Amino acid sequence: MSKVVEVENLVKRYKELVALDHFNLEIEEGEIFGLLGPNGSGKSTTISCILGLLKYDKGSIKVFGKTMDASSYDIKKDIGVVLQNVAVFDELTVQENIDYFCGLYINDKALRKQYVEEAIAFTGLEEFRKFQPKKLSGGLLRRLNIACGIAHKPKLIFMDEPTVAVDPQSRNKILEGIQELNKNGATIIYTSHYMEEVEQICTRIAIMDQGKNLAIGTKEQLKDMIKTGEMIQAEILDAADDLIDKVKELPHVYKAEYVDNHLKVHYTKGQRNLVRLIDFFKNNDVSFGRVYSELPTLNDVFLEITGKELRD
Amino acid sequence: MQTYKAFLKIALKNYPSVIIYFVVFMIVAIMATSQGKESEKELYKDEEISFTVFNRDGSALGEAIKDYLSVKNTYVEVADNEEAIRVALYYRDIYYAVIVPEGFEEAVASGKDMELMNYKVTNTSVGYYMDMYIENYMKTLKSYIVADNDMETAIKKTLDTLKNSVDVQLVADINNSGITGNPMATSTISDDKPMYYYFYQYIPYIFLAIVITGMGPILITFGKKDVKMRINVSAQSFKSYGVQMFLGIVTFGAVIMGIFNILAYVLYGSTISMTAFVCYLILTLCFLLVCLGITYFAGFVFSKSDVMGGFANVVSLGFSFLGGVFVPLEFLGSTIKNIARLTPTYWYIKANDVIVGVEKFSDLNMEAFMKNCGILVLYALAFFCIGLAVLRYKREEA
Repeated sequence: MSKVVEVENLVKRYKELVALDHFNLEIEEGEIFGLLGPNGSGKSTTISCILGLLKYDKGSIKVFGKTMDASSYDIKKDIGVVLQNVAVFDELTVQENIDYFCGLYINDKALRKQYVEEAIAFTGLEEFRKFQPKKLSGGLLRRLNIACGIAHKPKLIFMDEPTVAVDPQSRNKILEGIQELNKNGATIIYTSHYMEEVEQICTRIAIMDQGKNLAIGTKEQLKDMIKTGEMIQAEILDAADDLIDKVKELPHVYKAEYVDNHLKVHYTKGQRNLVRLIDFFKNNDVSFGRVYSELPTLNDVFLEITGKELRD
Repeated sequence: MQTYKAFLKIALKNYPSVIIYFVVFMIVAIMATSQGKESEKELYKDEEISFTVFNRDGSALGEAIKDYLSVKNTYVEVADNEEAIRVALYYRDIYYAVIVPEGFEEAVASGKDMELMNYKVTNTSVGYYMDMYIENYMKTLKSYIVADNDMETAIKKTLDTLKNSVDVQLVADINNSGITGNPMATSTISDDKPMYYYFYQYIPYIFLAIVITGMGPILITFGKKDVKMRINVSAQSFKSYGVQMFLGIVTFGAVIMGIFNILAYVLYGSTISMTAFVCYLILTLCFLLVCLGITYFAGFVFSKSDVMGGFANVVSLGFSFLGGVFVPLEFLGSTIKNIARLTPTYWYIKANDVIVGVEKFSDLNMEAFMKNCGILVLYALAFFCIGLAVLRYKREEA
């Protein structure tokens, strides 16, 4: 697979603040690539630099193997952008808006008409084509925002937090749509601070903080990078200190604590932890209720790498 | 031409507010041009005042005063007794009675103080004007006597001098802050101006209102941060975008200018010379550039259409009142007039005064016309430059 985006040693400063600090990134064709990081981590700055909206101080950016800058219109024609805020004309209807933004890429009138119809159908806006944006709900507005960004069938789509302030139903529809676009051949760069979304749809993820690329890989690879493995919780009415000490001596356990009638046991990587813990309870005559096993999340990855929560 | 088409579509969707201004303007302009001119004539037409003179001195000076007052007023014969005078004043047969006391001419000739006596209707301005009128006569007469003229010569010269004053018309003397001429003789204020003059006089107001109200929101819409970002990342080049926006602005301006000039020609084509019409085309183009410059600047400053609407009202009404669109320049005080010079409307109105009545180019005061138009173009450039400065500042802030 060819490389669609190549970012090398990118440095971007806003006066004293270093927004991007020797940032590196490579994105392959056909990926849904997630850029994950808290607000202010440099996600939007990265995208703005790649799109030629911002000048950068050092480094190089290539898109489709060509150097990208503000006037690379031959590259831009294959790029679609779905911005975080809804960027449409309030005075134009749904159809007119999609037609306008599609027309910035497609000159052929008949082809454009076809693409606009397909974008309307793809986002389920058929009934609302004559509506002005003011009359649309938040979810429909987001769909219109997406339709304006993808109507010209781009090969590379940037999606900057497209599900912010969207109800769960619309969010699922949007995420399904993104996966469908990917199936149709588009490479997608997806930024979000919702780790669940990134985990759900992205094939590869980069974790950013303070303008740096802290880790990159598939979600499994990222989770393998940290010492945290499984965490098992068990409902226990009373746990004496000696019982907790014994639990800590079990294989792979690095931390055990008793909080609110729950025994929480944290493991490093290892197999058969749940079976081993239940056997331990039986052998020591410990009465227990429900038992949960949780695998590490991207938030755990982020927490361990940066020492802070993703949503801090 | 996507951006150009979108520009026009958005412009068309803003038409209700523009139409309101257009309709209101049409009503006001037609009413003002058809009735306003008549009412102005009526307002300043000669007002003949009934008066009488009792020449108890029996002197030539007493007769001269009577003759002078009769030039613009109506002499009425009344019996020379107090009862008859009071009755005549009560029934408004006369508004003013002058009594020339015995020995008056001799006193005046020898430079002694002796006042004329009078009766007048109270609580009207008539008595005040007649007092001023007579005072003016006596001052002039005394100045000739002081200059060693005999009474006969002084009377003759005084009458000649004041007759010239009587004929002075109140014209658009914009360099003078006050009303010129004799207050009793304000007989011809602008009443020889053709109707198209008044139509074009109101153009600055309507151009400012329509251009800012109609085009401001379009610039705001295209300037919205996210829309602009989406356009900037598209395959449409910055140059193509700029050209299409410029074409949109030019089309908008051309339509506004075309509509109002065609309308002027339809309404007043029979009275307006081709030379004057060409001058008006140039003048309205220059003023349109000013309006576009102001809108361009405001488009970067304001981010909401409602605020732009308020700005349109403040600018159009403010500039129009100050610049002589609604109130003729000759009625503005010197301080206001000095402030008015800072408004583009002032220079437009000056140019309008230069054009009016011109039949051929040789009649036109070309220097004054070009100067006024040039100042308007400079205003337009200044507003465009301020707009660019604001744009640069905003980019640096971002």
